[in-house]
Amino acid sequence: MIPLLALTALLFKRTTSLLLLAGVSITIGGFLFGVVFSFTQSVNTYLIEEGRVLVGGDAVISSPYPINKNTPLLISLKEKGITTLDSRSFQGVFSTKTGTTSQAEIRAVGDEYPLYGKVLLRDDVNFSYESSSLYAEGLFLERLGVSVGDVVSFAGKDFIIRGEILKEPDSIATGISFAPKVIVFLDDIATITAPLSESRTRYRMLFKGDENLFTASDRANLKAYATENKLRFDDATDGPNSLLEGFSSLEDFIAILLAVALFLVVINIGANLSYLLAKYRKTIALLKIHGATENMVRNTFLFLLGIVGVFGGLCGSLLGVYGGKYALLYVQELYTINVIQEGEVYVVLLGGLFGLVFIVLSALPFLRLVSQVKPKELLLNTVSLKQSLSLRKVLLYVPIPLFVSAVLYGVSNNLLIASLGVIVCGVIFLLFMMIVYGVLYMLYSIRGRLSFLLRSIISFLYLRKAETLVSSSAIMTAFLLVFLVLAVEKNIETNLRQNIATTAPSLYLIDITKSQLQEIKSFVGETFKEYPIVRGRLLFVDERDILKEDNRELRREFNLTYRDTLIEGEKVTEGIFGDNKGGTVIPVSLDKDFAREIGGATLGSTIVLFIQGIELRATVTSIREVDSRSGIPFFYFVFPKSVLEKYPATFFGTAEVSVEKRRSIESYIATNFPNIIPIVTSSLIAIVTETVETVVQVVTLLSIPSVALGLFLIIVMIFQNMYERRSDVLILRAFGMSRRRVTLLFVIEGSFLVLLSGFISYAVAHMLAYILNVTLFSFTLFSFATAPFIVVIAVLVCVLVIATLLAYSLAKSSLKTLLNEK
Amino acid sequence: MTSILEVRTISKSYTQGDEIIHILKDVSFSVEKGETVAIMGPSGSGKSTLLSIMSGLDTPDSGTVLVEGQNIATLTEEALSTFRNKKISTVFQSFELVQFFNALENVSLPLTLRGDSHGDTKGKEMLKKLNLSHRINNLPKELSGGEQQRVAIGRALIGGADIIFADEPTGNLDSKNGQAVLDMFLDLVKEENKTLIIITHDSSIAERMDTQYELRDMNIIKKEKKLSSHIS
Repeated sequence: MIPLLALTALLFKRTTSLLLLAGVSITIGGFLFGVVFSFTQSVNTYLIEEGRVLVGGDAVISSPYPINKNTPLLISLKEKGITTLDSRSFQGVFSTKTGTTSQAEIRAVGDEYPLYGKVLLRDDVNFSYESSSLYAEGLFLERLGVSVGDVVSFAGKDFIIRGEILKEPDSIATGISFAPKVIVFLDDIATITAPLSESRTRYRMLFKGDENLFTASDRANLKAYATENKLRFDDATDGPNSLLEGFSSLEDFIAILLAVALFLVVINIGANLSYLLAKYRKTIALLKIHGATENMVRNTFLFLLGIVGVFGGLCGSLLGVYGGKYALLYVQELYTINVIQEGEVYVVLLGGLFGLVFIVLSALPFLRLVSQVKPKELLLNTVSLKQSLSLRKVLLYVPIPLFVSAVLYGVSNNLLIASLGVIVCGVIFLLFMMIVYGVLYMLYSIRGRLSFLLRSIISFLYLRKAETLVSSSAIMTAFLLVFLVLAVEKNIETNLRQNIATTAPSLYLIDITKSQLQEIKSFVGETFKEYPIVRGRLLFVDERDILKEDNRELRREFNLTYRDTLIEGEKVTEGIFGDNKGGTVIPVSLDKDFAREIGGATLGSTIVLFIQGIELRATVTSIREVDSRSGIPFFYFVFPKSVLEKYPATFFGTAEVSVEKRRSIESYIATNFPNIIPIVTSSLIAIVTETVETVVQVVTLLSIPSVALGLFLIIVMIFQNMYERRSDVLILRAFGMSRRRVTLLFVIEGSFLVLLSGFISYAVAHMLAYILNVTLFSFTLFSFATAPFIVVIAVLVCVLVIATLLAYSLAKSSLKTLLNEK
Repeated sequence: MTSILEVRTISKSYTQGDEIIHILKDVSFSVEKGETVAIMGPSGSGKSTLLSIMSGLDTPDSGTVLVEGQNIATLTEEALSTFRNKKISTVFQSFELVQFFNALENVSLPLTLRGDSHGDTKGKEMLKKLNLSHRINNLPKELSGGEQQRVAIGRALIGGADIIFADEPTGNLDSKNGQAVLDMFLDLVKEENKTLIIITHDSSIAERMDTQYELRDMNIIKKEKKLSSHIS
């Protein structure tokens, strides 16, 4: 009986479209579910499974200073048979006999490299240890104009190029570099006499051993040793943290988009079901007159919705999983990482279950209303609904936000986002409803002064009350979803681009040693300016132990500088800058934003830094504002010259030179000072632009399903809105309204909804983007996106098309048939 | 007298599955200006179809409808809209009021549609004639069935259309209300010298019209008027 009734209902022409729309909504929900889950699951699986390859070993310790291997712990680990590998990364400039030069990110490794994974080389060349050899990326070969087999020179030593690197197994762990990567061997580097020890170098020690050999206790000891000696510790089981963190911001953002999208799906399903109920009322009453029980009717709909939900969820997640697969291929290309997608069938099946649970929970209030339809409605030709608010009624709306929260938690693993995402959606939706009601109430009260078309539109929208409020708020939420993506993209772009100003010096010289400074200065000329850099780690801010905090950004190494005067673009906002000769404390000047970032350091705060094995305790005596976009190096910490001058330092140089002079400088330092890295601002801008575009592309790619859903729902809801007007318009047509005016009516009404929704959503989306800027991405700049205007215009064009088609269909069909149907 | 409406050999059929169902076949008759006409017939005889064709809401398969000598089939979409707005008007069995307009806005709808700036004033006058002055601001859902149909009648008369079509105008009302509404309707039609073509099952209503036709076997037959009912 129930399946038969359900099937009949499904095939009943006038309601099929509504069920289809609910099905499409679920399909899109399933699609989002599939794509997001396959993405996050794949990346997580990848990070866990491939973690050791990415990290380079089972555990790694690293430091900017040489690691002392003669400690009892490191000796005991080696004696146990645990494989260790030394690695050292620094930048340098290679040259050829023809005079071409190229800077490179050099990694000098021991002959055990790699401990995990494989170095992929072009033409299937094998990676192997050979004296005076190197392996380099294609860009390096291209810049030098050489190929595999040729000889290049670094710091006076010749190297034969043995192969072109396609992929390093642990490239992500070594970080992103502006320069092409080169792998050389430690034995060769040891023979170089140039002062490489003063270059900015990262020393790493990698460990490999199975669980029985390299035990959890060994790892814990190693971690404790690293913490004690201010070394960085990475464990393969944690995955490369920098990558995880990078993804986690995106994951959180995707979870927020998913929250809004699923919320929209719920609204859309709810709206379709309420239309469905309106159309089915008499049928339900008729069934009840003939003896159908409430349970029978409710179960019929449950069965029907179950079919739609499972089918929609399966189809959607199937599309999503394969969409995710293609997205992953794209991400793999961008990041040159090898992500293997797993559990495809499992995610698809889960999508079906998701669809079922989602539609049933969304339909709980509807199912209650279905069972409330009374047989007498058929006889009295009236609809009677109890409008009282009861706890039971309210409880029906509780499961769906809980379910959405659970899904979000599954995606983000972030309880705050999972709970707040849904609450914020609800609050914003209510806010939208209140705004719409306010605007319509105001317009309705002055409708007498408006033209017929406007009056008709305002009256219709105002008197439909709940339906208008829900549908227009849903349109706004959909717009919000789209605009939020665009606003966040715009802000990511703005904030990443801000690093390079067009007024920046034309040349940067990095890692100049003290002994090289004078010579470089006289060669480059009078525009040369140097900025000393001493590297150190932040240990304490007042009583706060920074190394015990989660914020990795604060646990990194900082560039400290010393000088006694302010530089261009700097302004002291509090305290007195400079040396306090005769004072009892060591003074330090902090950047204003950074002072806030480390928990509100103020004048008088104590800062403890770890520099070259020595703890330096300083007191904040001034706070500065700096122009971080000027292109001139800026520093969070500035000390008086007398404090830091005694520490080993490198220098960062800037110069404003012509193209010819720049080339001669590049050639000069390649020959004489291979450790110095020249960076040409124009090429830096190109690299930053490329990086920004890549990030924006990834965000766009991940946001496509949500944006598509948003646009789809906007169009569907506007169409539904117009379709609801159909019967009223028929009466107007019967009394002489022309097709042109009907079209105009639809166009104005649709445009009104689009423009009102667009305007309000634009404002709210940018408010949210600002909050995300500050809380999620830690961006400092905020900008308004212009792309939403294009979206609004595109939607307006769609409205125009829909209005014209609908008006045409109304004019073409016989009015009598349509009235009869009504 | 000149014919204000002339129906010439109208035929209409529908396709249901593979079957063609003929509704009207070569139906011809004419109506004089100011004449009131009832069209009767059993269910499914094609009364409403004929009315729809005459009022320009539907098109015939063949034949022509001339209103004041103008073949409405030759009118453009724009001209047909103007025709529906100015020349004819319809009263529907289920009232068909615009649900989001109040009584005044519904009554003055034909005037508003043609941009008449005095729509509100004329609408109020019409509602006064219909004894609905106190219901000006009420929405259709706030009116009783009889009141809704009175608003619909006012809407049909206000635009100055010469021909009023009415499809079972009292079909959705109880007999007492139906009688009152019909009395008011006929009084106003006579007062303004309108031509009325009414579709009805009710022979007592039909007998109050000048002429009666019966649709039977796809054709129309003029019925002789009973003297007694004419007197009443």
